[in-house]
Amino acid sequence: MTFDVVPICLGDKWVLVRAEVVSEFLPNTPWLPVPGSTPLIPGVTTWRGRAIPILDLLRALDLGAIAPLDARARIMVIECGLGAVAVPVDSAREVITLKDEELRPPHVSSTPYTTGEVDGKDSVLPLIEIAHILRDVGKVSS
Amino acid sequence: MRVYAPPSAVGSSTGYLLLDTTPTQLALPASKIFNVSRAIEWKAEPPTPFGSLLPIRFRVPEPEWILRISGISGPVAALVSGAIRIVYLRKASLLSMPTRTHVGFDFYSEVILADGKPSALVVNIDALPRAHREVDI
Repeated sequence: MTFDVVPICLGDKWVLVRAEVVSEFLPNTPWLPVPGSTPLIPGVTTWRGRAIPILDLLRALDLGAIAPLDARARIMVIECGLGAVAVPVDSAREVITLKDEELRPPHVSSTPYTTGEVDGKDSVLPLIEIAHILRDVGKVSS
Repeated sequence: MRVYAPPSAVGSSTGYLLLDTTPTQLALPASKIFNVSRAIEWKAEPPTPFGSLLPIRFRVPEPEWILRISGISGPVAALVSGAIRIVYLRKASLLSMPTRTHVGFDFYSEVILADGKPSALVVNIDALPRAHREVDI
């Protein structure tokens, strides 16, 4: 059996997310801070005629934090059972198809929300479960 | 200050008061505002009952304006400073805030678009935390 993942770059860190939850990549889109919101969901942006929350994946993975005028190159739109969120990322590569046996339990990665590891060309890549982050945050856009 | 709708806007757009707030511009539905006055009669003590009515950006040390607002449970007052503009927006310029979101999002009902980009948030007055007491100024 196989599964598809998308490598995304946050700062200088590459991580993998399951391709099945990735809906679209947008060019850098400005987002609006929502005063009083949680740091992990700091604002909103627009997508397909509706407002969706911004997920600060850098903060969730302890890699820093985003800012409204941050020059992140891409916005990754994630759609899962809990709704749609927009995730600013620095870059992304094409979808990779992996065999189930290539995914190992996390040993090397200390990145939060890592559910597995995959050997990359130069390093071990953690597989991040965005749905777990959203569940911890509490609620997302419907 | 009197809030009015120009003839061309009646029936086609809705009025909002745009406040000079940071980091995000906030707006109030004009239909909820029944009075705007200078804050010259405002006394510094106690500041928190009014400051706690609205998000932190409204809690200003030197308020210039007092907005009297119609809430579900009666009139409330908000202290603001800076410029206040009245704008008339068509439905296409507004998006509903994401539902089922973090509690902080509940304080805002809509996103105002400018050139297709999010530019301001409409405050959901009835969802804001209430002050311990209300004072009829």
